[in-house]
Amino acid sequence: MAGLGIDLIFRIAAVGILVSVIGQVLKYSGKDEHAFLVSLAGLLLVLFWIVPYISDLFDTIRRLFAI
Amino acid sequence: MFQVAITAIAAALLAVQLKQAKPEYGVYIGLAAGVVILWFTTDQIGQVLSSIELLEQYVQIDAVYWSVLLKITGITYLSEFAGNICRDAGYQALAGQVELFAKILIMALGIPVVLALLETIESLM
Amino acid sequence: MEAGTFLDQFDFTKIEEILNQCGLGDRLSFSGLVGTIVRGNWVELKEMLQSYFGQVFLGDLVYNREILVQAMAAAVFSAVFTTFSSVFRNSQIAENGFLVSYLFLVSLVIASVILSVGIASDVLQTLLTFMRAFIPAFSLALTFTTGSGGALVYDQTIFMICYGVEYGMNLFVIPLVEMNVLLCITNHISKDGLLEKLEGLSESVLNWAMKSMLMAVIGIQMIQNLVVPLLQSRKISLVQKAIGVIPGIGDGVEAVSDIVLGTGMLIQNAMGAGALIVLVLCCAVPLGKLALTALMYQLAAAVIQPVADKRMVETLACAGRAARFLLKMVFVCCVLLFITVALICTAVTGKF
Repeated sequence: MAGLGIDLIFRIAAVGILVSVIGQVLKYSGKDEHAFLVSLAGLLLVLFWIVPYISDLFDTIRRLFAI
Repeated sequence: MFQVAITAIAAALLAVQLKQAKPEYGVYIGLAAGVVILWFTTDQIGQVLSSIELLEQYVQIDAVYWSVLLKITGITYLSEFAGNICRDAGYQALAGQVELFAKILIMALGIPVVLALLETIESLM
Repeated sequence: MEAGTFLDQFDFTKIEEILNQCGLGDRLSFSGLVGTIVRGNWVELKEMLQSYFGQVFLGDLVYNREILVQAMAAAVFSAVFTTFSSVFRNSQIAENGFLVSYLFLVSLVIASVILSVGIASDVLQTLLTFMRAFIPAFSLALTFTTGSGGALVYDQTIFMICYGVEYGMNLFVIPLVEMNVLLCITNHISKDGLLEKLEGLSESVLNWAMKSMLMAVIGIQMIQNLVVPLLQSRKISLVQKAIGVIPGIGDGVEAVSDIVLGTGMLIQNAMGAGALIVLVLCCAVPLGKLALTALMYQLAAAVIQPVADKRMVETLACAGRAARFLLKMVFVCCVLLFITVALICTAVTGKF
């Protein structure tokens, strides 16, 4: 799981950088409203990656501790 | 150990970088790193718990109480994790709420043990 | 008169009943015992006693060792769990872990205390019944052989004193011991000792009660008058010093030992000696069991101390103290009975 772990972090970082760059580009080219949509898209992508991960983890914890 | 250390350092550095441009991504990275490290920790905890279970053979504690202890451990674990993430995101109050809930839940779970203790004491009278 | 027909004249059935109660019946018979003593057959006597004691104590040792092991396991478990839960910032988990293992320990301790109390009150019961059966028969026998009629009067008064003391013990001391253990356990449930002062109070009361009972037994004037002349002998003082060395109860025993040894010399006949042996046998086993329990709990507390929570150690020590109290109590009753038998001997035969 280690590879996947650090992988995830770098991917999120990449998405973040991408989103910020695209946002800057859009701002300078005048299309500010799109910037918000882009950042929202980025958020959704990140969530899409993280949520299954977290749910998996919590399942493991539930199994382990028999909560 | 190394994996955990590298994950944490990488995440911290990236988060610092992103915090200036897009602050929320700092939080996401913190969350992701936390989850990854939690994954490793869970592995280790599993091992510790199974060794403690070996001890259970010698001490004939009722299975009920053992499961209570286990649940309490799990609850503490989760509440600290959630609380810390909230704190990182800057929401101290939320973190406090989560931990409060955990404390109350643990108290509720622990009451049968105290009751059983008092019952045992009463059997002497 | 032939020993056999002489003994046949006495009705030993009640005494045999008591021996059965003690659990001695199947291995020992009173008439057999007296017969052996009358015949002067010391070797056979020694063998009878040895086989009996061996069997009883072996079983007890095994049981006690099991308890010791379980107490240690509980302490280790608690220690491990506490270390493990120090990881979390929340201290509730450590507290709950302690409570669970404390629950286990408490059920162990209480089971053992109930056992000890049962042993002690059983012994008291047996002693009382023994007195009721034996003393009338004994004083009658003495009157029969020496023709003196004063025995019966003495018999009544001494009877009442002893009965009163034993009754008092049953009514006050045993519940007091139980309450002491209860207080000790309840005190340790919470981290700050909320009931500490109360527990200390109950212990002082118990100590005081023990001491005063011991003094009452020794101080009975009649006994003093009888025994003082006998104390001139040097052999007695040597035995006294030897007894005083026994750890744990040595100091209490030394205080009574002059009375005990003095009165021992008053008992001049086989029947009295037989009664004394029965007495010692009936009491020796429970005394031994109680002593073993007390010792074992002290041992457990000492062994656990480096590893376990302070409260667990205290609880075990308290259980040991309770066993010691019970031991002292039974011992005092034994001494009382011992003196009674001797007094009747003296009163009737007028011998010194």
